[in-house]
Amino acid sequence: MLTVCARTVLLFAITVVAVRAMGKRQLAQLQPFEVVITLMIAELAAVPMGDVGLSLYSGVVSILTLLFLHSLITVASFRSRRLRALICGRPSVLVRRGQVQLSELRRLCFDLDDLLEGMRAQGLLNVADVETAVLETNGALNAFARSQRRPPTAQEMGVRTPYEGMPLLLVLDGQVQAPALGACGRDEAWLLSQLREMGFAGAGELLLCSLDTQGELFAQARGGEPRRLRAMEPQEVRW
Amino acid sequence: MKFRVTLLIVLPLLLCAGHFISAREARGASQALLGQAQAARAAMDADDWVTAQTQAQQLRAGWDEAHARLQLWIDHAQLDEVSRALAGVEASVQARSRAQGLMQAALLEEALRSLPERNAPALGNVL
Repeated sequence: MLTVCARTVLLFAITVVAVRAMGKRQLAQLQPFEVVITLMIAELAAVPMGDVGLSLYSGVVSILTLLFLHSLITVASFRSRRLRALICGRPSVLVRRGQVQLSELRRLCFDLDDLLEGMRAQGLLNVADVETAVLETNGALNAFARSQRRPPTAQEMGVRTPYEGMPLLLVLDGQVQAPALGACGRDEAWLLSQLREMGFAGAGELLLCSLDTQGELFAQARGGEPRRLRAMEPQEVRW
Repeated sequence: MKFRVTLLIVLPLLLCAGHFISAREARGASQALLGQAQAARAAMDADDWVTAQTQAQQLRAGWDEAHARLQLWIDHAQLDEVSRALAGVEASVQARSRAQGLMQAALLEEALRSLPERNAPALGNVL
């Protein structure tokens, strides 16, 4: 029993390291070869976990070999677009200029219902509203509405919009985040004075506190109402 | 990309080192014990049961010592084959059964020979 536990802990650690080494893309958008490698790693790790008769070494060797193959294919396809097209395929345009490409659908064995379902998932109910739909190499369908059916953008309306970047999280669960404070060019004393102005005794009572790129400080105490304060001028924002 | 290139260099080195160590362990244990198994078989063939007994005891000591190390590299079913055949040799020597002893010694030799062979980088093993 303990042997199985120990082997499970070891193989779990090795599998997590292997999946982490494959990169973040591996977790979100799988290419065909990545699907194969992920399935195989799961299977290879599970078999020696339960079967104590198998040497751990053979399981680890298989996982490391797959990790090597993944790195090899990734590096090779990064350097050669032709190889990448060969291994991952190319995106397919299923709707072009509002017209469904039947030949492409047939070639991919992609059902019309699948296409309509994919469009609905993108918030497009009417096929007549779609200008372009692309089936990506990872199997995701991306559909784009005709420009006449899209809400106008600020640029199209000629409206000037302010810079909108990532807000800085200054306090998380009562803990002051020093790197975030450094990024906005302020110190803990400044934060404390702002919090006092908002009616808080200190950072310790806060659930979170953030500073957005408009210079507005947002703070919420545990179980309390959120409060806002203009802490900086937008021109002072440097992140 | 640097990390991936590092993996491309480090992983083959790691895999080669693992293969080299496991092959050396399996070959070393196999060769050492095979000589003793052959000597035990020759002694049983010549009805020299005192020598056969000594060889069987040496085999047992050698195998117990190697077994723990080999468990790390070789599938346990393969090691169990050797353990079973060795137990058969010991029982045959104890019972002074020549025919049974020769058969068990032959099985033991075959099991010992297969230790490094099954993981050897040969086309037959790959296919």
